[in-house]
Amino acid sequence: MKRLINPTQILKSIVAVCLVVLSLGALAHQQKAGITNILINQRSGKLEVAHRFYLHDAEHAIKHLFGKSADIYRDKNTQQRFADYLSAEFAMRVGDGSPIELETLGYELDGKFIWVYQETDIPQPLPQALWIKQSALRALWSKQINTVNIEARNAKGARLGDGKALSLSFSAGDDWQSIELPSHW
Amino acid sequence: MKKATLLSCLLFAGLGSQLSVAAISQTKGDFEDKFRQLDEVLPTPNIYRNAAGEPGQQYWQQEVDYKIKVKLLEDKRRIEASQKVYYKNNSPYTLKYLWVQLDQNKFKNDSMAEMTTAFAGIGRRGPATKAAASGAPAKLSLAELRRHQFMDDHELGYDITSLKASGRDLKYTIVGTNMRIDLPKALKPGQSFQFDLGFAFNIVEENAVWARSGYEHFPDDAREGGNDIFLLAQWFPRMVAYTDYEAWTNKEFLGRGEFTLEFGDYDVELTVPADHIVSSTGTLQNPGQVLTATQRQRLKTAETAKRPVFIVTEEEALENEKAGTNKTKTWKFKADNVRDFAWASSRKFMWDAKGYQQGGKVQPLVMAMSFYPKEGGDLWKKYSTESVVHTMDVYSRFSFDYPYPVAQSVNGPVGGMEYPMITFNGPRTELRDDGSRTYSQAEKRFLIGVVIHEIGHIYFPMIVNSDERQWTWMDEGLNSFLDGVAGREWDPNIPWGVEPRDIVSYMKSSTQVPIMTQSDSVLKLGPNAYTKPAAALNILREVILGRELFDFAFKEYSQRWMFKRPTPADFFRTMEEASGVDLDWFWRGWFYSTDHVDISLDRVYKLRLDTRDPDIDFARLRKEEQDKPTSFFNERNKAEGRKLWVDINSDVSDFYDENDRFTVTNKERNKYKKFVDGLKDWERKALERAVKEDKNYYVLDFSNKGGLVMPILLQLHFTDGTVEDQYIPAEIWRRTPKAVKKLIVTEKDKVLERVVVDPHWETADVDNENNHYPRRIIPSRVEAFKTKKRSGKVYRDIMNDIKTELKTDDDKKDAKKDGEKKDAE
Repeated sequence: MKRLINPTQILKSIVAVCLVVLSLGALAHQQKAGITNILINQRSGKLEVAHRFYLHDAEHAIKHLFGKSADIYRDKNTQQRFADYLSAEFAMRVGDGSPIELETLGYELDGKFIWVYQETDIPQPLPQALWIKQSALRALWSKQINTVNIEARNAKGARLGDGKALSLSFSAGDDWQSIELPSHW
Repeated sequence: MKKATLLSCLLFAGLGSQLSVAAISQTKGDFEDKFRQLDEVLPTPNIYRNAAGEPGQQYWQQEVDYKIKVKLLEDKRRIEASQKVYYKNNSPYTLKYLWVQLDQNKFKNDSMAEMTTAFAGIGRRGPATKAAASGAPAKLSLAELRRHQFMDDHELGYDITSLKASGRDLKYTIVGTNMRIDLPKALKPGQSFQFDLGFAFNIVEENAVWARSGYEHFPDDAREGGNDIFLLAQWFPRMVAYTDYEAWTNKEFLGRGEFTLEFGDYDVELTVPADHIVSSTGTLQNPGQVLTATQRQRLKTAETAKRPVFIVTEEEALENEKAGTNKTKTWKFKADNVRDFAWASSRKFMWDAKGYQQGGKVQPLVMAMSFYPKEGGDLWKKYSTESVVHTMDVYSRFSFDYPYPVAQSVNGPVGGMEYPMITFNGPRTELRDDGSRTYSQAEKRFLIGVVIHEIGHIYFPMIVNSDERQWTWMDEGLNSFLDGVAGREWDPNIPWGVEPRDIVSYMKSSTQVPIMTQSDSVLKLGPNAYTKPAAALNILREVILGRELFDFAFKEYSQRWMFKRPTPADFFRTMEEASGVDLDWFWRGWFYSTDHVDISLDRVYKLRLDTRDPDIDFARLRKEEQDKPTSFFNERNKAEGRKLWVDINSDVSDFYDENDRFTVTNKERNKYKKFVDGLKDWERKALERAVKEDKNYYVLDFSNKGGLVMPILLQLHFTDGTVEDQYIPAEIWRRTPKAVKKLIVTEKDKVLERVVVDPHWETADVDNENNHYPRRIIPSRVEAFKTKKRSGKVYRDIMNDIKTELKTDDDKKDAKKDGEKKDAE
């Protein structure tokens, strides 16, 4: 729920922000767009999460997050830290508030992108709705928009539904959002 | 905007069943004509823009020439200027007033842009803010506070100090970022009007305000008080474009939708501190007064040099930035046939140049030049000017010879922004503790990429003058497509440009708007206006038209609209008309809808010709019967040792024990003969040949799950190990857009084993699993990752890892000092 902020809150905000980030960076062709694909995969029995972020975006984000010597292309340590950051900025829970704990499997660099993978067992029974939060990079620059797609495949691997993904969009002001899952999933 | 509203009503009219405003609509059944011609969607062709997508026989555009004298007051960070504007009314209409753009007024605290900035809203150009949520307080970043403070402390926006024509004051009315000048006498077609405008404004600090231009302060320079780099754009009041399709394009400047401008000639005198180096749109008119003899000689040498030559060396720039001066110099520039004018000025600049000998009659020699401070370092020395040359080399092949005398790349606080003959680019090196400057591989890619992109914008939209305020995709999409081409020709090992697969996740998402959306209303500008149109053009070139047809049509578009003002319809019509291929379905699907590509191969079945010859057909039927699995019942009886009656009583038998139900008699043969005798000659020949050839007939069932109709790219795998590709044009979907069947005929020995749709991922198909028949297990991204062999010491990149430095606490402090960079546009 969004509220108007009162002056005390602004003060708190300033303090909060000192810890968060100072200056903001962006550069050529920075898309400031992240994509998270959630797959309810009945074949493997897993709820799979794949985050895809542009290395262009990551390159600038890490300098704010980890210091200016961070190098996403060459330094495995930086890659791992950024992957950890992405994992930590994403969260899921069910309607009663209990979290869906995700196991982080790892990351890989692929062309222009860094991918980070997480998974967990598909909750049984499948909840009617998922609550999702995707905050990655949004504290760094206001243009960041993260799209979360949710899809499902049956035990044979065929996609369920009409082919469109269910989607949520996360930008500067958004916190938790919920999405109803179709009953036939 | 009344016109825009009307236009969009028309545009969306064709979108189909979800909109009831359609002038023509399918009101029974659910058939959707994906190939419906765009006639009622596109504006009606007229004498200004014809049906071919060409400028019409009476195409017109206004001409605006400027003579500007401007002073840069360095200490006050202020611009004071006067300009003469020559406005030529080439339109067939009489004008009672003129509109002028006052872009600096966007920074006034009461501007529409400022007042409508939603807290924690989406897609804003500016620092981050975060609304309060789930117990966490709302957050203002320090950058946001800095912005507020800067806006509070400085009076921003224009001071219009005088506005006169023939010595008499003109009446004007300021409406936000626009100003209406009432003409003393109506301006008839063909007439000109001249007026004088005095103006001044305080320059914004780019890093504080997030603008497209401004100053950047370097407090740590040796000079007391530091130095600045000044980037000046949207700095003078520019005439609003008056067009045949929208009349005055005076939609308020909100920050996102860029600029719609007129071509004209410029004569500009820039008075700056005497120790500054200036980079500007246009040709320098007085090098003898502002450059040293050595610098002029170096420029001459640079014209034919293999590598960039320094006009101002690093040592000279470092020496220059140590001191200041009270003296001024006036740099005079002239630029012909440009739609805008920008410049940069600083005592920090080093300057390199290299002649690009492009030949031809238009502009045989272009000087490619770069201006950058020490912070640009080796990265700029090596790659900026070379990237400028490479861009012209590639882009000209797709359009026309670069028509201006200079092409420049300037380093400053702006991430990436384009103007005629000059671009602002942000990448920098990092100062290390040992005093050296280094850059990452990523920063190198950024520099080359951003210079190509921004120099590319000199073609689109600075020369092919599309309307940026309305349609971001027309310059960003086309330019992103071409920067991908240029990047791949630089070094294909760098992941450039747009692969169709990169846009798949966006296209299947439910939170998107059509490409054909006015700039200020676009959600997710990056994928919408850059990536998706670039991917679409890539697919159009590589899959649908082929390079020859696409390149011919694209070049035709570029040349038709060089120094003119195209609209989306002109692009769509030209590409179709010049390629000779109907593309309305393509524009409709990719640009006017939010459909995605998902073609599924649901079933393949084999047909066999019925020969009607009982000696052939009955034998085949017997074989089919025999090939069926035997009954378990009988198998188990046998296993139990059950004796059969017929075996025990073999002495009792008859005709039917010798002849099964597939036995052919003369009765069937006579019937066959009667059938053959009854055939016409051509029928008999066809049958005989078909029987002899005994080909395989396969029927493939496809369904279109994504909605976007596309060609079907088939890969047929045969049991003999051979593979054959087949291309089915998109038109196969024209009567049944949801499902189609296709007959494939192969030679007798070519037995189909499996079929793959779009095997090389060329069409942005969102689901690969249903592209295979028979289905195969396609591991999900996560499954594939899990099966990769990630362990084992052999997989360590020791060559890399050995360079890893031990982390110290200092790293965190460094983060806070990091410089600020902004978006490339």
